Amino acid sequence: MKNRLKSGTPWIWLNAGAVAVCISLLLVLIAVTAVRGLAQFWPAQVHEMLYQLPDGGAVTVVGQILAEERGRILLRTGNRATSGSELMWILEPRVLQHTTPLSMAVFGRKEGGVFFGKIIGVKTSGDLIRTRDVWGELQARLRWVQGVDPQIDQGVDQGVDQGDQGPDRGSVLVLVADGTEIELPINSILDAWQPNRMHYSQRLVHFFGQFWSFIIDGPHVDGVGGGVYPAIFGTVVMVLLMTVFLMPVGVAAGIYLREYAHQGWLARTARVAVRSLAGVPSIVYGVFGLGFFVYTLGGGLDRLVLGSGTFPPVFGTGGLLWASLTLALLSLPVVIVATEESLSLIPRGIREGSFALGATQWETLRHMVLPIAGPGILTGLILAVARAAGAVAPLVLLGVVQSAALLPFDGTAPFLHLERKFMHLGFHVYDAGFLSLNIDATRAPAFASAILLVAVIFSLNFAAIRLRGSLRFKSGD
Amino acid sequence: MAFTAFALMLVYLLWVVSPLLLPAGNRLTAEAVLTLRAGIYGTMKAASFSLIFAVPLALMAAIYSACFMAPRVRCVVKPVIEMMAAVPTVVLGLVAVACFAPWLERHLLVVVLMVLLAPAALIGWGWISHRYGDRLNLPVSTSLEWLYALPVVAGIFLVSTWLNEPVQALLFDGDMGQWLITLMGTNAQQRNGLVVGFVLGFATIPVIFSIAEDALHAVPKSLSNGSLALGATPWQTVTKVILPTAGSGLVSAVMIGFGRAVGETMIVLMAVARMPIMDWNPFQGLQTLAAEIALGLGGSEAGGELYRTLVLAALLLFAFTFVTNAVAEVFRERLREKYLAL
Repeated sequence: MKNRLKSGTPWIWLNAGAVAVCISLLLVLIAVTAVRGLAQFWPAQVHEMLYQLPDGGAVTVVGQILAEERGRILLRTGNRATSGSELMWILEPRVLQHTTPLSMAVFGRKEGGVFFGKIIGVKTSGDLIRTRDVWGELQARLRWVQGVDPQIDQGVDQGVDQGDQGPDRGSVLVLVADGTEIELPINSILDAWQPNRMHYSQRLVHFFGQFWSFIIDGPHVDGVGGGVYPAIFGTVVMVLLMTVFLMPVGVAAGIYLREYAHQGWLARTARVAVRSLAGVPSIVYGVFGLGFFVYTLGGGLDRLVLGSGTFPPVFGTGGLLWASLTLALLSLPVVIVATEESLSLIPRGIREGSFALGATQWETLRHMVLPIAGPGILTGLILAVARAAGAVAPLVLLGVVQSAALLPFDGTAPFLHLERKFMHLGFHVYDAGFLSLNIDATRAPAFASAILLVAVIFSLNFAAIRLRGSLRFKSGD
Repeated sequence: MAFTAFALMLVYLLWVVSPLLLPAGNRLTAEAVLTLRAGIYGTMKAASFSLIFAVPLALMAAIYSACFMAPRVRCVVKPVIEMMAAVPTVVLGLVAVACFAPWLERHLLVVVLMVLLAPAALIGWGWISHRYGDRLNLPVSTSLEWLYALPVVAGIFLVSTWLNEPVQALLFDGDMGQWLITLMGTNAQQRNGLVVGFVLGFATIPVIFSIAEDALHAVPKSLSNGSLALGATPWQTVTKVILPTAGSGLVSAVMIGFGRAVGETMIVLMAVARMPIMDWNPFQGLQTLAAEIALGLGGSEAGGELYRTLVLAALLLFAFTFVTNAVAEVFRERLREKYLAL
């Protein structure tokens, strides 16, 4: 036994276990985020249960089952306007009757979240429409709303759906769980479906449809539900703007440090300093961004252009420009280090050959060194962008808001509005998943935003890894 | 230009806090001192807890990846583990507050059992496969042990989960967390130091892993080949030759990981209840410098008392992480020169 342990194979297995644990942790994290984020788009069955109350009476409850554990069921009952809370725990042994009626319909509403109920009929100007195919009539009217309603087009242009109701298009009469009939105006309905009737393929189509509308729609008026389009848009614009600031400065600094600077103690110190700066917490950059960019530069700009005492401040408050400048500063060390490293990997012979043929230092750099180091520099840039897209801490201080009425880039001159506040996917995760007062309803969208953010950042990283891989292949390492 | 920007940053931070530091200026109020002290204490507490979790895992994974993996496998596994660093910390915070904290409250014993059982099971499995591998036709191929370890780890997790309730009922009156809290005589939070330690550890693992792995992998092959040729086993080669050579690289990896844990904002902001207390109780909340800055700075008046205090906190963070990283970088630079000389 002692010899066996000395040979070490068991210890090697212990170390292999550490690799396995790390990989499992990552997989579990992604799986949890994906399941909690995407489950809300799946048209789950709507259950109708006869539920015994502690005092002996019984009520009917309707909803989708979100979780089951230890004899308790978490039910999403929807209908927030009528019943207050959206979620409800019930005890399984108290369920007397359990059905999934085919006629049960789910309504996605512009305000107030989902609504469950059985359709009785469709009304226009107070009268029930006499038709056999009530469901078909409802669908036709919903298509009519979406086709004619100019609001849909504007919704993309404006950050938040303003929620103006178009002309009256009738209403739908719905029987809800407690036996009352409720009239929903068709203008207030986004979508309606009958999950208990759907086939698997229909469910799949519906799932992707819902997910897609989460990506391309703005949030609803009441801040609960709807999509994250403005947040995605804000993230992309900010990251692009940041790259514009970042790339020339970072690459130039890297080139200077490796190619032009005298390689003495000063260059070595600068190198260590830059590497250390990459490890300085992002919140410190946020403090500098707020203090220097926003208060000093922005406030000064306001005083200079608009006179002192301008209120509300234009540049003297957090906004797109300051946020992207701060993030550029934050990612600068990463780019400098990557540029430097890919330059240092180039064999001496290439440079010396070029010099021997009479090329100047600039010509050598331009035609020999940079084309070879290009993919490496690009890799560093992509990694920096990925890091910046996931950094939220500085943005908490720098002009990211819960909901912005206007997008930072639109059709009115000067098109790119540097001073505007904007929405951000990462901040949406923080806001909806943690700050929100209605946490039960907003946590699922927060997870959906989280999985979107993770997907974007992972694809950027994969691109960087592929690029790095091809680089290795080329240099024959 | 880039360097000017960084210098400007340092100068600006110093300028804002200068009234607090100069002898002639107005001193810090007692309240500000308390905020800073509790913040520093909490920062150290959170970062230390995370390292207790992250350092063993990251270093062991690094040893395996650098010394025992075939190059082709390593090319895949290393980026996958480094991908842990790409997960935005706000997502980690969300998972911590919405999933992990409620889970840990009832499954603390699962974690304890995992820590006890998983190494034992792995070592046992390694011993069996080494001893009887030929006879039973068990997989003994080197460099793929981690794949076979995956089901072992998952199995131990399932066993621990299955044992959770019976063992708690038997030994801890049904609830281990409550039992411990009563034992320590304190009250507790659901989002406590333990939660933040694990989640912060998740964010720190890839940082430590990546740097340590590079240091171990860069040890000249002539050294390890020489050791193997003299008849040392692979494990002896690792412990007696590779680890001592790359030692300073491992130290710098842990330092850089510590720096990262110290400055982490979003995880702490979300995963732990904010409490200005100073103790090492893992079931209590805490507050860190970074989280205080994120919460307080936006609402504070520019140039005011709170503003200056928080900028001072930022300066402390800056100085601490910068110095830690710089020392670690100097270690790495030395190590690189050593390797070149070998």
